[in-house]
Amino acid sequence: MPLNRYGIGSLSLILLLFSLSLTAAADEPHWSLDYLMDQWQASGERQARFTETRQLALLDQPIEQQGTLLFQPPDRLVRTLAPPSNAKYEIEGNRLTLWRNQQQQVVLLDNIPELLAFSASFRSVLSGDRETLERYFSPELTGNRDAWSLNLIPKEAALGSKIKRIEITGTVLQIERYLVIESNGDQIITQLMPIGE
Amino acid sequence: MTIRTDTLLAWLAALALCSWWVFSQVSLRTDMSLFLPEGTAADQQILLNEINQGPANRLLLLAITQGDAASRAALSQQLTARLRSSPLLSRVENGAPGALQIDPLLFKYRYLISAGIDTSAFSSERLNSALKQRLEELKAPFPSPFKDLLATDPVGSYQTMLRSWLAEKSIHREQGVWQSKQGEMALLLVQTLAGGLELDEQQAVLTYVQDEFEQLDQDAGHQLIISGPGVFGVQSRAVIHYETQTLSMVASALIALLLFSAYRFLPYLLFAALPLLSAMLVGAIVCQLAFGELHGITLAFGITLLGVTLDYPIHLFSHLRHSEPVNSTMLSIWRTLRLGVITTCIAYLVLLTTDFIGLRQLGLFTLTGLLTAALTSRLLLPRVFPEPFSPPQPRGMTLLSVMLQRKRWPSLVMLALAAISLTSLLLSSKPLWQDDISTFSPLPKALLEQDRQLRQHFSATDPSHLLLIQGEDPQQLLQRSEALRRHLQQDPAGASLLDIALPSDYLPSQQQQRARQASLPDRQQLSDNLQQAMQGLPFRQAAFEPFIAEIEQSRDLPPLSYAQAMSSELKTRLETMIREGESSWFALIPLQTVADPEQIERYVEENLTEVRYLNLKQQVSGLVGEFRQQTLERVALGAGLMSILLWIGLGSLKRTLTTLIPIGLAILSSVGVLHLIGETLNLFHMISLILVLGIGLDYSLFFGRREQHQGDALLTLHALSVCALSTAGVFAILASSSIPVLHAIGLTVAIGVVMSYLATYALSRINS
Repeated sequence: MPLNRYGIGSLSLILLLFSLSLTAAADEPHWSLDYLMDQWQASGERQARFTETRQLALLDQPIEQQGTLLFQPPDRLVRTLAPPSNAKYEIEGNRLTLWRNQQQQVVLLDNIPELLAFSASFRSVLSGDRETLERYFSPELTGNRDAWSLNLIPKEAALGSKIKRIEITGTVLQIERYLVIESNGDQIITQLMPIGE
Repeated sequence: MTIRTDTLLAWLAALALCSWWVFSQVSLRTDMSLFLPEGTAADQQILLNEINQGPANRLLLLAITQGDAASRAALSQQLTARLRSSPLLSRVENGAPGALQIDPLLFKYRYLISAGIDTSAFSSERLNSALKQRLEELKAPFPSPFKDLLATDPVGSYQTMLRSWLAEKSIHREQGVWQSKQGEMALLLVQTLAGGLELDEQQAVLTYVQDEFEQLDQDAGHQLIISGPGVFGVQSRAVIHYETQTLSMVASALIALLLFSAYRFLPYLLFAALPLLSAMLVGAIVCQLAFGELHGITLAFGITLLGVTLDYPIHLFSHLRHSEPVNSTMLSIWRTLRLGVITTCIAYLVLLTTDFIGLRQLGLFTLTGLLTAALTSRLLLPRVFPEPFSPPQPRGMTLLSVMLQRKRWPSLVMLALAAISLTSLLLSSKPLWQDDISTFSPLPKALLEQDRQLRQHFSATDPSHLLLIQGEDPQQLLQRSEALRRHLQQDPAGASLLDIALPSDYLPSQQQQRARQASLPDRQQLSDNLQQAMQGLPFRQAAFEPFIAEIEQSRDLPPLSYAQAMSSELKTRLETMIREGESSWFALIPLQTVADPEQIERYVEENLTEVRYLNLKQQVSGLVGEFRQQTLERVALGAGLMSILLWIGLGSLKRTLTTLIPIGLAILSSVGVLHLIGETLNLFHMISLILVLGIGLDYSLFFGRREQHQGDALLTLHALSVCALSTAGVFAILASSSIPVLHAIGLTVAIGVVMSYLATYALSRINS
């Protein structure tokens, strides 16, 4: 019976649509910037190996650096370069401490507005502090759960004159790449590989 | 009985007219400069000018307290933004660092003005190490603020220059703004356009800032503290205004009460005021005409000194009899009064010869005032009495006759006091004089302490220790500053003694800039060195072409002039250091941490011929001391002249001596008593003693006067008792003031009058 066949057909279509929307409802509303930030906020201490490549207009060849990054909530980040460099940066609260050639140097972030803003681009992301992040950047999340990209455009002129945008890409909760594009076209690409749990 | 109204009305009308003229025409000055000497050493003048108009005087320190660091920081930012739009303020800073601004002019001149540019600065070795350092900076995880300058300034000259400027301002920051280290207040610095002593303008600024703050701090969770010279000026004025008003009301009431209880005749209150008012008004008018202005302090002191003229009508009131017309009584006391007035005037005439405009004004004001009071008392006062007049019986006569019979007692008291005073003055180790001007301040100690604490947050420099460099023009000044820097670089002992920032550290002289230009390499040389330096480094071949081009440009630049530098970022630094004086240019350099001023003075004297060391506190004290010395000398001279005049007037040496000795005793005892009760004498005590001298002379003359009638002794005693009581009472009220100056004057005159009264009475021939 054409009517019946039609009816069943449309029913299955409705069912299909329904089931689609069901998966969408189960997945999409949860995967958002808020979701990511909440998850990051709940994560504890994290450590990763990094490889950083700087492509600068003034240089013939890029500068490559390797080392480890350690993040301890709420706001401590330590960046240690692999030997032979031994340079180490630590940023905690509003203090940036730098160890290089057996010398220690402390800079207060409050004294350098662009640094304060810049530090928010990774610290606020790692700690899931959306309020601070949005104080300095307009964030925009694109892609999907398995391949997302978080674009940060600086809000304040102090940083905006230096940095065009910052692009953080990753999978699920994992940050895989941190890319800084400077106003003059120079790029800093940092690849991250997590170390254990 | 009616008062003759024609003379009275005419007199009152004249006074009203004079008051109108005084209030509309007299320009009152309030700064201290008139009371400082003219034509002394140039450095003193610079100093005085600095005290009056220097930029430090226009600075206000603001502190936002309460709340937490974040809320204070937010408020500090908002307030700064608001205040920066105000036309009343020339500078507002809260420590929030702006984005790094490259000053194009200074950047262009970087190889001429930055320290460390010499022949070796562009060698291949130095270039190589500079490039390595730049590479290291490129590796930092944060964007380098100087990255954009890399191609044009690989040696980092501009960077070095900015860093040296940043190092100087090490005020603690929190949440992006200046906050105290203990974290209880956010700090702001405000510079007003108006000078610190322009009190109306300062008052307007204070009200404006406070209003803006209250609008921003809507939940009223914070408090704003403002401190600085402007605040002190405004507060002092308010305190002085309030106290003088209250005290003069109480004093007037007291005099009225005394006069009324002494005579029980109301019109006397008016009669007594007339000569005094005339004296003040005429004094003010003459001063305005002669000097073109009148100083507030002259007016205040002058009115104090004219207080003696209140005695003239009192003499008349007490001596009036039924049997005698008012005019005849006046005539009979006039001879004594005249001598007193003329001799006192001599003392003030001497003041006219001092170096201090303020003292000259004071002399003229008091002189004309005294003469006016004396003449109006003699000529006008008798004419306002009714005709015929039956004078009221003076009260308290019984008490006074008892006093006359027991004259031995005051004599003994007086002798004992004089002896005690003399021994205490001779034996005491305590200093008699105090020339520290800060003790004259009418402000509460807590306010001064608060200011001192706020200042500590801002800077470690002690503004009272300065080095003075002078020059005919800015260039000579800068060269001398460079010479001083070179000297200190070669002498570590001197450098540790004199820890200073010099104007040439910011702007080298044109001579120095030319020397640097000559040391810059030519194009070929530089690119060869650079090629060598870049070996093994990842920089692109042509990366530093802009640098090579700019070095070449720098070689031909006309040196940066002082005027040009003042239009750059250097302005705020240079203007606090270099200023144009009347005939020369000068730099005042504050010293950091002064441990031993004498050591610095010796070092500067022995080593630095073109530099002078100023110890501000000591210098100002020195000026005050000089002022005191000069006044003292003139008063001594005046006293000498007075004695001679007295001798002529009295016609006998014996009578002159019997008149003068009790006054001397009274002054001695007054100083002794002041010293004994712990007062250290200053300028104001001394001026008060001049008044005591005049009053004492009057008392002495009246007590020593030959009797015209039977019972005159009792009337004279009555007159002088009323005089002494009213004067001592008024000044005792002044002594209760919290304003040190008023307290000093009040106490001195009150004690002095009692002493004068006692001494002149005790030693006089007067008896029952």
